[in-house]
Amino acid sequence: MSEVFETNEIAYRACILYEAVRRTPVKKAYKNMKEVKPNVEYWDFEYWYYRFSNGQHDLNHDRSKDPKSLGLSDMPIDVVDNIVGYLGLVDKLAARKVCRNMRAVIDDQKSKFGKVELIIDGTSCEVHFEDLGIFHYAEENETYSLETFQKTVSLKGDHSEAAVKEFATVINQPKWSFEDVTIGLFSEECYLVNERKSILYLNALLSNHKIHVDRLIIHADTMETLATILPRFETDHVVFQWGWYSDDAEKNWLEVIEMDQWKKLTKCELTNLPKGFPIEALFHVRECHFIVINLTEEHLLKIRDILFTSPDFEYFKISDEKDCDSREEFTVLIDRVMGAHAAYDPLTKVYRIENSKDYIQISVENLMFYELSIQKIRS
Amino acid sequence: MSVENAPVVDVDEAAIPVEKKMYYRFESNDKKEFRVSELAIQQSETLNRLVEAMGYTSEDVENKPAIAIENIDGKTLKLVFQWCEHHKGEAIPVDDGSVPKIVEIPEFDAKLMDIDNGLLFKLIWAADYLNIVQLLNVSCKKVANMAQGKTPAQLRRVYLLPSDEEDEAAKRAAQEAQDPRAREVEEEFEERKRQGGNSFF
Repeated sequence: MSEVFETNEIAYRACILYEAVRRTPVKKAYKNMKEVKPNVEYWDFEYWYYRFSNGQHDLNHDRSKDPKSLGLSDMPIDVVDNIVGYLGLVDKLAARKVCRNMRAVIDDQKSKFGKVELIIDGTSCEVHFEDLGIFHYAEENETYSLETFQKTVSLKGDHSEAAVKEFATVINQPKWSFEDVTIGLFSEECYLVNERKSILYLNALLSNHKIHVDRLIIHADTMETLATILPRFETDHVVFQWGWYSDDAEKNWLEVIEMDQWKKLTKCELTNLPKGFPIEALFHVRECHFIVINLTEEHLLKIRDILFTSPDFEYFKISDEKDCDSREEFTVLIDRVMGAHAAYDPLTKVYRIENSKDYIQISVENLMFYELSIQKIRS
Repeated sequence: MSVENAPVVDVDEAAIPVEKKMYYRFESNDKKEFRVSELAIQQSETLNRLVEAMGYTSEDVENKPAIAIENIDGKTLKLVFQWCEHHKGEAIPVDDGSVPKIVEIPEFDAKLMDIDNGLLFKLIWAADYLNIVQLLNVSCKKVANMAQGKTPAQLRRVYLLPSDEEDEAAKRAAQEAQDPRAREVEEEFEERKRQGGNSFF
């Protein structure tokens, strides 16, 4: 593009004057200017555009002699609070870095945001704050590369520690809450030590207050991760996608199901229910989906005698990953267990609730594996 | 003294001998006068209380001096009253405290606020001072929209906010202006620290 606009300030201003006099909308005028002067700064362009629009056409005006304009720092605190209230998470994070006064207003405001994620996967870590992705890649010589849509920089330190720290800074804000918090630790068996290290580091960085979140999603290879991190959150919905590698699952799930946070859950999704997990530890929730390898007669008896009497239960979906061909026909098993009570009609698969017009509808789907759905139908 | 925004009364309305509409007269700090309808004034809690307390009759409005608004200039006040007239009769929103807030900027407001940042901040200041809830909401939303996708350095320039260092320097300068020896004392203290002395005295 023409260099004249880079080197000759008057030529640049004259172009803006032309657009302002023609009443080209400011955004369109700025776009036009950017075509001939790519590095034009919007705030500078805007100043001249509005000055010329207001009939002040002096191209040689010295703006340093202007009276001081009002800025955000001149606004009353409740106004700044109002403005900050419209910012999303990503813009708030940028605005927090502007100055300590701005940071104080932002941190003092009770806010609810969408999704935040921490994904640790071998040599790369991702942190997502709503639409903003921050990527950390391990490099040689104890350095890592940090990438965002705006920049890529190489920094000293451990990539996973940096990612965990970045994530903790945001979820630690005492007055912030989130719709979804996801912590994903994806690693091979040999990386279990790394998972433990990352989760213990995150745990150490979190402050003592409870983090409020609508749904906590954890992908991990050990139950220890859930046992460590769950007490830090206040949530009624947990999704836990669990691997198979841990050899101390029993100790950790016993710890988890005794926690107040667990007892307060109303929704729960679990993959790979650990062997020996007491299924009744899920019966306090309203909605639940879990996967087992072999849903046994004992499980079904507990569902019939305990879950069906729970006042809170609404909907359970149980996926049984055992090979369909190598077991007793699933529906026969269900009919046998439920049919032991007269309340069950094997034709309609309805289980009537005593002294109530409500009933329980059971349905079974045989897809890749069996899926048992149990839903309380209210009158 | 100019009269801005003189009310336009259409013929049909003027012909009907119903209750006469009241228009109040206000004056900005640069002596611009505005006539504003009673209904439009209701958008401003501050002005509404003021006119209620004054209890003016139609004659008082004409005969007594215009109500002075001493800390808002004519350019800003014109925007304020244009907004109030356009939105007169609309319900005043109640803040439910939810964050992030959800506010839409109507086309009229967007055009009204197609102004430079300096004037926009004056408009916000006026909306806050006059307690015009929805004008404050839309103008704050407009300012918040300016932050979208900006880096901290860009935000400093858009919002004219000093960095912590600049803020500290300004505070120090203000302190020094009050006590010229402060800097001298501080430099002496720093020098002694460099020399390894533990005590200043």
